[in-house]
Amino acid sequence: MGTPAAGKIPLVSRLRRALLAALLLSPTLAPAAAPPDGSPAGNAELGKNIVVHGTAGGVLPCMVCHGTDLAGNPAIGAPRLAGLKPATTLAALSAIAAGRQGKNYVMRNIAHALTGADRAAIAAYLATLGARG
Amino acid sequence: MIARRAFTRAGIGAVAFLPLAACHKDWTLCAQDLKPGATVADLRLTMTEAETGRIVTAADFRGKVVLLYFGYANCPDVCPITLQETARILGRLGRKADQVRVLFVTVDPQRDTDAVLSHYLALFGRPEFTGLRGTPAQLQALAARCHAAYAVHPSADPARYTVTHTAAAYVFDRVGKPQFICAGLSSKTPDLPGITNDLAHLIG
Repeated sequence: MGTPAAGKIPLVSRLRRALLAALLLSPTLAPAAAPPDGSPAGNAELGKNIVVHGTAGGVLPCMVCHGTDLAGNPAIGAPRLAGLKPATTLAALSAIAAGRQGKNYVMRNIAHALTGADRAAIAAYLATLGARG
Repeated sequence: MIARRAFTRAGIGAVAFLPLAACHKDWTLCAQDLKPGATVADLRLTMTEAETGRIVTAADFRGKVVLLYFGYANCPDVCPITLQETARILGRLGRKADQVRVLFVTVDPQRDTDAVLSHYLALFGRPEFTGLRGTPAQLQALAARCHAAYAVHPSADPARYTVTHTAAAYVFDRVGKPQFICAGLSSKTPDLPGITNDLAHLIG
């Protein structure tokens, strides 16, 4: 049996190669809307705006209590936010809104007032920040 | 009770007449704003302005309607809510807002340095906000003029460092005469249109 000529690769082999290529390429082609943790990705720019300025609906800027560096403020009992994974932020906001986590009524009202898109946006922005420092 | 019911029924009509009422000198304060009576003296103060580091007195705010509030930057609830609602009211005032100065007087000058205070207030995005920081004597003198109370119990543990203070805001006219006390800014449902209307009357 001689080596097959380049133009005469069997059909099954060609299909297999195409499938392999598609599989290898898929992570880069996958839409950004589905991060590895399975949560819907938010708009980090919008998230930054809420974190720094709050919302038009009267939600306080996160920085007021969590600090301009978002490193948290033990005097208020406000934890560090910088570098949180999106899933962590989203889970915390849901738990706080439902009254399962935290004792601060201001934070509870904020979590309650934030829309799903707001929460996803904040989560996306916080994840872009350094976890420490 | 009867008067209140009648007022409620007349509510829609009253709203329709608000733009006209704005032309008059006298008006009825909204239910969350109280007449100061003899509780509040004319505006007189000497303090350090956090944003500039310079010493200011009431004369620096003459010509502006002043909303004076005692609070502290590490407040977990009442202060940030009050500032946020005040910012929304200024937004409602539109261009008239530049005739207002919001003076946030820290009752915790030990932790609220000029830098801490000015950075904190800047987060609310309103140029009308000014941070004031006094010596214990300067703070005591101003609070006494408003019958405002405050107490600080320092602790090495930030979670146990306790500050309490009167949560009302004191509003003065352009010549420093007390006009009303805002009691509802940190309530669950602050009357933003009502408070805005009361401030608009003072601005004229």
